Amino acid sequence: MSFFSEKRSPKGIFTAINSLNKFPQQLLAKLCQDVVDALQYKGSVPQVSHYQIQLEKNSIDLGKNEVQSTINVLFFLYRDASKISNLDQKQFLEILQNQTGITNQAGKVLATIWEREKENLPSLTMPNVGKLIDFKWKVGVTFSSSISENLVTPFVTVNISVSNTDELVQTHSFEMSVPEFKEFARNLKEINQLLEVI
Amino acid sequence: MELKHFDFLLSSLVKKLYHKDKSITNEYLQEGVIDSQLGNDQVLTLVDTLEPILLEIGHSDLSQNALEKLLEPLELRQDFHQHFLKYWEQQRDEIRSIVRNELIFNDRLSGVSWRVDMKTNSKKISNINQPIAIVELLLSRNQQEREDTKSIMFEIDKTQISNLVNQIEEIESLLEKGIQQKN
Repeated sequence: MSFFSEKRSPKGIFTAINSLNKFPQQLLAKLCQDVVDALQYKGSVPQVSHYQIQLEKNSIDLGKNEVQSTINVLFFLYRDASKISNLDQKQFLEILQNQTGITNQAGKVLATIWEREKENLPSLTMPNVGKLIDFKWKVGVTFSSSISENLVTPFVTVNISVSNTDELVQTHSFEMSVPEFKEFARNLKEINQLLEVI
Repeated sequence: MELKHFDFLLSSLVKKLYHKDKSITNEYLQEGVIDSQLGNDQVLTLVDTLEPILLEIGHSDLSQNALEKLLEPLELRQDFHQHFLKYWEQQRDEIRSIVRNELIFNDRLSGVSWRVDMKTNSKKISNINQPIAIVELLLSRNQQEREDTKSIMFEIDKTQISNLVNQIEEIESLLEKGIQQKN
């Protein structure tokens, strides 16, 4: 999914840009910088409440969702741009203006920050990570084998399907002995707990 | 022969039989006990009696009692006998897992690592800044003499991991039942 190279727009981008347009120039510049810093792990993800307060000071009333979607769209745009080599300021601005309803003023703010930060961003792009499509399992007990006559032991066999960014689906199968499965289970439960809390 | 020689033979044989250490040759074993006043032939005879026992107890996962019975006809010196039992007690879990892994003919899970990120790229703007986990599974397979490992990476969100954990719990209770039945 690439906005800058393939001109594909994610759902909700127009609404998000409408909200973004309402930001005063300076505050928008600060927000862009915060987003770019967060992408480089130099700072934490910008807080909605902080920006709502700043907007109120400027007599601008934007709801939580509108502020959140502005933050989200900035993350999206800067990450997407960082994947393209040689995207200059002019191209950045042009594509942005052609694809969305961004105002001239706001567009220039985003493009200026891009120009300043574009050298720093690309190296931090995450590898292409697939999505988990399917998870199948079975539990069997091996009661004899050529290697070992009496070792009666259960095995868990898992079949997972992962789709990568090209929409190709790959299926992988693997087996686990009971201790290996316990370790696998422990990791997944940890992840589950963390995702519930955040 | 002293206890340390006996221990050397035991641990070297385990390396040979279970860790597939090719450097453990008969010469290596004889060298290792050279100060024991045992003749080379005597060493080999001892090795010939110990090897099948070590193979049997590992592949059949024998209990301490069963091992005792196997050792009886050998009429080992008391301290050697005790040492063998104690050694097996310590090594058992590791050897069991080596044998179990030998039974996995295709890919086995050799590693799991993960991190939690805030999603910054998506088809829907509303999905951005939702937490997602990125999981890497390392799958290994024994190809002839070496081990091939491939890495599979995928992202998984709150809903997916929750569903996955439900399935994991199902598997866990099945294994519990299975183990209980066996005992």
